[in-house]
This record gives sequence, C-alpha cells and structure tokens, in this order.
Amino acid sequence: MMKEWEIRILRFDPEEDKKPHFTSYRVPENARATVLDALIGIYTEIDSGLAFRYSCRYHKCGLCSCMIDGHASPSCKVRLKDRMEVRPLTGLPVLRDLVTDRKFVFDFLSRYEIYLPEREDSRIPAKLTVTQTYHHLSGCRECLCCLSHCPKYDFTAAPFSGPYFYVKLAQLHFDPRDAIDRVAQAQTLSVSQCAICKKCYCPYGIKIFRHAIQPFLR
Amino acid sequence: MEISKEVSYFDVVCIGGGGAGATAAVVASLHGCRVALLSKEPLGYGTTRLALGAMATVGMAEGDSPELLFEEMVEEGEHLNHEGLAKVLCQGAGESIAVLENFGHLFKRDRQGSPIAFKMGRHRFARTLVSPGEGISIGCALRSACARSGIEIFEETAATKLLVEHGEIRGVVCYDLVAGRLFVLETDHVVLATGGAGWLFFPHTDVAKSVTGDGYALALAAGCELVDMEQVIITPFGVAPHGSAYGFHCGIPVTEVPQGVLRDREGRTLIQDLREMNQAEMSMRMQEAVRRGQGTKEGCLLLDLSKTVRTEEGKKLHQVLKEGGFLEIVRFAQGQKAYDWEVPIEVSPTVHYNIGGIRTDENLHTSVRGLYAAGEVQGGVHGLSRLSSLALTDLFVFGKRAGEVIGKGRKKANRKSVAWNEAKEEMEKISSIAGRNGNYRPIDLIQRLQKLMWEEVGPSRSRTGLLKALAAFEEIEERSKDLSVARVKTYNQEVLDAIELRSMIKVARAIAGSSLAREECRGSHVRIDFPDEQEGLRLNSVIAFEKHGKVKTRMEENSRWKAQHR
Repeated sequence: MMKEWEIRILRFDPEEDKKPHFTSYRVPENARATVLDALIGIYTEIDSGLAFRYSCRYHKCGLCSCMIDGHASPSCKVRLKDRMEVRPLTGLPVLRDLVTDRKFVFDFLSRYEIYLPEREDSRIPAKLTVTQTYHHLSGCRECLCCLSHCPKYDFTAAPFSGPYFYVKLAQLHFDPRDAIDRVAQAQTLSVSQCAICKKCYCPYGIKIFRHAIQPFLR
Repeated sequence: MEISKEVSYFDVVCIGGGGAGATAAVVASLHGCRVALLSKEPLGYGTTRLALGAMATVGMAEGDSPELLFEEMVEEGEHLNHEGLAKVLCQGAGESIAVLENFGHLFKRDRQGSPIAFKMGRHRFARTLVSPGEGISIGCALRSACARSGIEIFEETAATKLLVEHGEIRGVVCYDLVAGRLFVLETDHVVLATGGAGWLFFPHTDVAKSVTGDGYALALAAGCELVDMEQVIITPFGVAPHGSAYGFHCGIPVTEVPQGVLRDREGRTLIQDLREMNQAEMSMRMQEAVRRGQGTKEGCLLLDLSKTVRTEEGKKLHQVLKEGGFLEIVRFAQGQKAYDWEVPIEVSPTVHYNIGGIRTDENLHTSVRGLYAAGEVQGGVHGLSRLSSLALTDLFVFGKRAGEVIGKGRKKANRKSVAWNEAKEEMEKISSIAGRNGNYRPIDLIQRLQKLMWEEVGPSRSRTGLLKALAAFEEIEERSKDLSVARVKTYNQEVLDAIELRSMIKVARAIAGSSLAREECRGSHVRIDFPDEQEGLRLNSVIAFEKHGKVKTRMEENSRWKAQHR
C-alpha cells in the first residue's frame, strides 16, 4: 500500500465559519513533492472545496504563498514533509481558506503614486547607468511573504506600510529615471520604525534591510 | 452567488491582464477613453510574467531594418502571415521597447549604459534585448503603468460572455471570483487579450494556469473566425517529472540550436543529432517513442548532455545557462547531477505558444463591430511559425495599436444599452453552477480534456486520434451538464473551473477540428498519417468558426500571397 503523509490546512469560510479550523488530509508520501503539489493534489483528488491561489507553478509568480509550519513562503518552494501545517499568510486579510485579499496591493500603488511618472520623451535613453542594487531589487516577486515575516506589519495599521512597499519604493529610488523624492515618501510611510528591527526576510533572497530600508533612513 | 443589477459603462473594456491587454488599456486611457481592464489573475500576472524576458526589436544592428525583419518573418511563417499585420509588427518593433520602458521597465544595458542586443534563434541580426528580471519585472511594470493611468481594474475577474447585437459589441458579462458576484459592463469597444490556450495541454505546458483559451471561445461565440488554430508551438525539452513544476524549459534554449543526444529509458539513442531536426518533428518523435513504451516511468525521455559538457563550446553554453539561472529548475526537479549535465535530464515536449488565433484586419478589428483582438489570442501575424523573442514584441506593438485605433477612432460616447434579457440569462446560468449536486466535478472533466488534448491533439496527430478526441469532447460536454460544485460564494474556484471548462471544450474543438482539416505536416502541425507537406495546401489557412453552436472548419487560400509567389 502506498504510504501517506498528513497535512493540516487551516480552513475558513466567511459565510459559514465563526472562526478558522484545521482540516487534515492524507497525501501520498513523496519527498520530492512541494507543498503546492500537495495542495493541487488535494484539490484535484480529494476536496475541490479548498481555496488556494497559484499560477506559475514554479518560483515566478509569488501567488501561492502561505504560512508553512509557521514560516511564510511560496508553497512551490517548500518540499513536502509529513505532518506539515499550512495557514494563510499572517497579517493579511483572509478571504477564504488559504486565499488572502491582494486588492490592497494595487490600491496602495495607485494611492501613493508608486510608479515612474509618465514621460513626455518616450524614446529609449541611449545611455542609462543601472546599478546592481536596482537589478537585485527587481527580483521582487510580490509574493508578500515579507509582510508576514515582518513583526510589525498589520494591514489594518496605517501608516506603517511594511517591507514590500519599501521594496517598491526602493526600486524607484534606484531607477536612474525617477526624479521623485522617494526618501521623503518612505519617511511619510514610517520607515523610521524599521531602523533597529532588521528582521525582514525575503524567500527569494532580496536583502530588504540593506537595499530597501537603510537607503531611506535619515 | 450575487447577480448585480447595476450596470456601468466604459468606452473600452480590455479583457486580459498581461502585456497586450494592459498596454491597450493604458494607451486607450492616454487618448482620453474611460477604460476597464479585466484580469482573471491579479493584474500583470499570466504568461507575460513567466516569459524569459527576451524581446526582439529592430534597428540595433547596422543594416537591420523593418523590411528585413518582415522578410525573415514571412520566410519563417511559410508565407501564411497576414501581410498587413506582419508589417505593422515590424514597423512597431523598434518603438515597442520604448513603450515598455516608459511603463517603468528597463532592459539590460552594457557598461556604457546602452541597451545590449543579442542574436537569437534564426534571426539574422542582433535584435533581441533581455530583461534582467525576466518577465517578473515586465509584469510589475504593467501594474505600475495601470496604476499611473487611472484605469478601472477588475482583478481576479473573468469575462464569461460578450454581448453582441446587430453585429456590434454592446457589453461583457463578468464573474468576480473573489466576491462571487456577476455583473455587466456596457461598452462599445472590447479588446480581447487573453493569451493562448496552453493550459488545455496541462501538465505539458509552460504557461500560467489562467491561459485556458477564453478569448478564442468568446470570439467564436460572438461570431468571429479563428485562423490556423492547429498551429501550436510545442518545444521538445520541458523539464519533466515534477509535480506541478512540469513543463518548464530545461535550459536548453528553444531559441538556440539544441545540443546533446536524445535517448530512451534504456539509454538507446533516439535522435543522434538534434541539430538536424525541427522542434515540431522532434516533439512528434518523442511522443511516438513514449507511445511505443520507450519512455521512463513518468513518460519522459532522456536528454544526454554528458558529451556536450566535455567540449569547449558545450562547457561555455553550460556556464552561460547556469549563470543565467536557466538550469535552476533542473536542479530543483532532478538534482545536482542533472544540473551538472553528468546524468541525463528527463524531458518531455511542452506546449509553449498558440500561433493561430482570432482573425482580424491590420487594425486588429474582428468581424464584429467594436471587437478587437491583440497579443497571442490574435492570429495570422506569424503565419505557421514564429521567430523567437517576437512574442513579447507582439504584445506591446499590438496592445498599443489596439489602444490607439480605438482612442483615435472613438466618436463621443455612443452608449446603447445591452439586451438585459440575454445578460440576465447568462448570469443566471453561471449563478446556478454553485451548489449543483450532479455527478461530475469540473476539475475531473478538465483533466480528462487535458489528457485527450495531449495524447491526441498534441505533438503527434492522426485522423483516428483526432476523431477519437472530438467524440470524447462531446461526452465531456454532456457530462458538463451534470456538475457537482461547492456552494461557497467567496473565491469559488470550482465555479471558475466550470466557466473555463465551457471555453476549453470549444477551443479544444477548434484546435482538433483545424488539425483534422489540415491533412499534411506544415509549420508547427504534425500529422503522422500525412507525413509530408501537400503542395496543394501550400498558402492555405484553416478557418474555424461556429455555426448553430457547433465549431466548423474550412480551408481558405491566401490569394494575395499566391499571386506574389507564383
């Protein structure tokens, strides 16, 4: 008989449940599988009422992020083990089961004008010096795990905006075409609260404190 | 599920949150249009985000010109390219880089700060720029540009039906997955930019989960024609056995001459010189070998690069691929030794791109007034095969063109109400899906369809197999009337599955039907029962259309090209 592992998933349906509860599933033992494989397997084979989000299946989109044994990570990056516990990202609004509401991300970009201003002259600038830091920061998958790792972040608590948003600001700060004072903007968004904490973490290896917080500290 | 009675009006509704849809939306908005953008995933995701980030342009190398690119495109496309569209693409290729950089993206530059162009695939000039953050930074740039433009964004929202009256577009029925809400947008311009249909072949594909061919199905139902749907680019070397990460390229770039030897599970040589074969034929041979039982336990074959990595040239290639991060997936799926090319990589062909698509004129206008198509969903630009790194170019050139054509041509708002009964009927149909208590889960039917598509409508096709698939699609459709679906309101993936299944059946019929109609091997289409090109079919396209709810096909000669090439 095929050996099985157990995986516990925190379920929540806003229409039915007063509070979240764990459901336990048995999945085939497979040390090469990822947690995402297990979630897809549960959806297709056992329980298609389970809500979780994914798109690219391999390390690119950042949409499949969850708390896995207490650690925020895209579920496609974590190998499956026996008796794992999966919850939605902490600090973010939960819609149902493992799906968190991502709408606030786009709203934030619009509200705080976190984009390169429209330029009249739209030809490619022939020469443009781009730093390594810029390239490093452009590896952000927007998986939002940094928000769950952050000890301070809570989507209900404004104006502290959390590491993800500082990364977006830093991308612009290091963009040779951007002329807006992103330091001042980061200050308005309470970056100074991050001066001593240094607990930021990115599953894709972005050095958030060094490249997206320190440059904004006065 | 909630049916909204409120109807909002937009000058333009763009369907699809990748490169083409977002660009069309931003450009139309710059022309003063009120724009809504629907994205089935969060905005800026989908397959654009999964691209390697190689984008062809024109004018980087001395002597290069749009005219020369056009010649190469037509040669690659076997003269079945839509001439006007191909010219628009070549003329716009130079500017497309600026369009994307203006959104906030940056291409790789040299030490002096100038963009670097590489010579890729069968391009005769160095034309391809690369994105240091691959497609991810392109996806982020799309989000920024939309945030900047003040477009109304509907994320995680699917279009379920186009409302057409007297041959003109009136509106779109939409399903908001997150809220479990159905609503109608009234409009007189719709841009379909939904990408291809790779997900019909899952897990044998490198596309995003949302790429279920919705645009093809919406267009067919609205009365549009599809051209050359049998032309599906299938590349031979997807990394294979690994759960959900199946189907991504294993680093042997599809755009370069493949190296190594292909072996079966016993180590016997299947293809000695990969350089002598095109990728369509190679993929066919691989599927045939697996059918004969020569595949591994997982239905894969072995790409042996152990000799390659010992040559100077091979070592260099290995190094470049490692540094670019292209082999990480091999390490992740198959371990260090496969990553080092010491042991063979297990591979399986993978569906990469749909060349065929919705028929439009050079202004991207379909046969329905006010309905446009741009990006991968649009057909005919590339003929029967696409030059590498033109897919991204296509998105930005045609996305921009669609936005411009609509923005410039728009007369003052000409709002006509939608036929509410038709909209209501569609919304009630979708609404009744949640909580159905039948015998079949949507996901089971989807998986059955995907298996059929791969086995019978994939790399190696025959009349027998295609007829078998078409008959099975009937059965799947019958069963889709007897669904079992969860009742939940919020983020009910099963309802979306059911909506997608309906599209997928239609698109599967269009691809299988077009494959059946083309009784030859040509371009990216391989028929094992007609192993050669048929001279009489040269310069012929397969046209798929819907009549009385059935997908039909006919052959059509491209008379303009015929006159020129006699």
